Amino acid sequence: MLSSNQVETLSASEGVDPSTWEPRIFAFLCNWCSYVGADLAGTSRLIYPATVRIIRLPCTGRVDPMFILRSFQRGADGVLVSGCHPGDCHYSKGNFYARRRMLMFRKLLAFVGIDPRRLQMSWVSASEGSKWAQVVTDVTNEVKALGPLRA
Amino acid sequence: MDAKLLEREQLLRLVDALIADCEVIAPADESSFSAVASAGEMQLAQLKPAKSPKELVFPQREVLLRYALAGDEVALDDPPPPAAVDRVLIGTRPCDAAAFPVIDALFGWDDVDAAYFERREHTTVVSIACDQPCETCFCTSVGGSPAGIEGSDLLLTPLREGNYHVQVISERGRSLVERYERFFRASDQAHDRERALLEDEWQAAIERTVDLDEIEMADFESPVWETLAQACVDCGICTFLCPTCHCFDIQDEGDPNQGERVRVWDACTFYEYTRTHAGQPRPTHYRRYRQRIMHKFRYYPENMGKVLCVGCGRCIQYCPVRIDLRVVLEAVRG
Amino acid sequence: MEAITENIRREARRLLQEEAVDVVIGYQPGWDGVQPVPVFVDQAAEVDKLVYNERCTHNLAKYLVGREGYLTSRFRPSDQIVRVALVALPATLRAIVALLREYQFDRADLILLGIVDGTPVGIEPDVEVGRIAADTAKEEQIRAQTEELDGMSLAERREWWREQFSKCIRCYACRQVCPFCYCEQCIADENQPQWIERSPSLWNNMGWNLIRAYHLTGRCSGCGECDRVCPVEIPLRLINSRMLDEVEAAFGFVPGRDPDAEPALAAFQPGDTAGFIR
Repeated sequence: MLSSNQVETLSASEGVDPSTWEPRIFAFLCNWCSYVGADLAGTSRLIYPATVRIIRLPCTGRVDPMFILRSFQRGADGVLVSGCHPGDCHYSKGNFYARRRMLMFRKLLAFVGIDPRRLQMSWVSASEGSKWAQVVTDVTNEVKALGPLRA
Repeated sequence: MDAKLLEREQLLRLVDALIADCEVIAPADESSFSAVASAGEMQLAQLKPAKSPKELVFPQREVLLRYALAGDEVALDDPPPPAAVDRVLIGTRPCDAAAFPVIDALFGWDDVDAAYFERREHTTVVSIACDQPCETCFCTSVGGSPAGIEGSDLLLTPLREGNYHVQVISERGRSLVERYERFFRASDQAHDRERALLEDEWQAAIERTVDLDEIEMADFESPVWETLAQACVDCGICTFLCPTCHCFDIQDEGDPNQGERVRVWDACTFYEYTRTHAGQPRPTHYRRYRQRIMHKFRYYPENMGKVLCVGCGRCIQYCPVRIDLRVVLEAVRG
Repeated sequence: MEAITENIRREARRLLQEEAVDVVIGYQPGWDGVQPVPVFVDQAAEVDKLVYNERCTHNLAKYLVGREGYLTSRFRPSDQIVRVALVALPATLRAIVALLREYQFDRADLILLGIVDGTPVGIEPDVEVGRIAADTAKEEQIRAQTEELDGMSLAERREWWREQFSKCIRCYACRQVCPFCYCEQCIADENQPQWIERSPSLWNNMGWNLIRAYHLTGRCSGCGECDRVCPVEIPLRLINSRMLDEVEAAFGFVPGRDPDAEPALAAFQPGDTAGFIR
């Protein structure tokens, strides 16, 4: 894992081959729904892109935009935040706050020229293994089309 | 001291010739000095950029070493020494130039900072005297002058009829003049006299002076310190823009597998400065402000023999609440 | 202007003489006689230091909060109360509304000598010491610059901001003059873990500036001080102004307007929509 300043010195001309490049997606998953859903996708042997690196949190309400900025700084090309469906949050309200936060943070990213589609969000419940696989596939394709963040 | 003459247009041609041979650093905008690709990019009309040229010898971010884990082995890498690139710093004012010898004392004190001196050796300082000091300038109060030579290799003083009087102050300055002698003309005593007269005029134009000789530092416990610093917001502007401030922090940036150890500027005005596991000896901002003043005007002179201030006035001009160092120095007179 | 200065002095004199307050925080002419600076007057005999003119822009609410704030100081016994009178510009009044909503202090601790400009604000000053015109010129400038940025492609805008953030020297003046940056441990100073490295590389600077912009979302009073004090002229007010617009568009919330409204990012509606969520 490169330090942020070392990653910074990688230029587009240096080593990124468009035909083989796969995006790196950091995913912040809530413990109660999305993490279990992702696990179900695994136990069901569903095939989906191996681009996500999962970080488990108690709730999407725990996602501080600092995590997202840090992810971009540390080599993520995209960030996915996934949690319980609205109304089903294990802690009642965490995902409601997360929804507002992610909306505003995407606006901020867009204003400073970072494509807001690099920050994605989804509601995936514990039983939605196939939805998880689909979400990762769609997010991967969308971020792949945007290219490496560092270019 | 040798002197020459340089016509105004010849300065621009000289700079273009220098650019062909080495890096030329000049005021490039209102904020900073940076490398210029042509003489036309120099912004010499302003008095001085917000940032001082100290970052040319004391970078705000400097890598000290790199580390990487490979299995059980730790690879430590010293970064290569600064490339021995000759460069000419042109368009500094005498105050900024005078700062270099002041901080040379610190960087060469007990542990010599080799990278710092490598950069110093390869930098020729060509200063331009100030024909219009601004209202926050107070170089004369700290032993300087709008046409002072301290720290410069060459000093260009604008004379009335449009030439620069060129004082050749050091060997580095002399060798620059010799290498580019086609741009210079001879000067005579009349020019020298005019330069001296102008310097007197410009010194007199400095509006507000402080008599440092008469300053005995206020009693450390005096309540005057609290009122002087009341409005201070504890940012780092005065420290980071100051040409003589040099405090730094050392941080590791990276992760357990790979990273860099860097030296970065720090400011004694920040709450985090001197905050240790054992506590914070200066938790309130008046204490930090008192320390700042004492360091610059008492401790550094006692230890290094030089006042840690060149009177550039940036701390006054850019302070968010316009705390005026000259007023502070007068107020703390014993 | 002179009338406002007279009103401020009169009120300050009265409050100090009656011992209704311990300190009056306002503006005094700076040492250069031109740029005013904050002043803290605790003697009735000194109220003539106080002035008001159009160059008074500091958001004095900054001095109320934080580790050494007059109303929140860590360096006083908790039962010792300092009563403060504050000369409050329109932006300062908006800031006070938001700070009250963040439970930073009680309304009763503060006497507001308000200067109003007709824009909606959710607080009544205790005394209205002046009326000024709303600063439409500044609004216009911000709008024009923002339009120019919106007209750029994403890549152009990214390059534009990269250039701005590369200039940042991490002096934190923007943070220090802001009434809302009152955290006793700023996330930028946190080193266990170190979220934002100290060194001024582009990404570190972006991390700093973006996280500050985000932390102000839904709170910023629009005083513009961060922009004024930046020594390398990063146009910070463009970001904060844009985020204020975004919050208003998405949630109908404007900080400082309604003292009872819940701050936008500390609240939610079950019916909030966000079209980008899968």
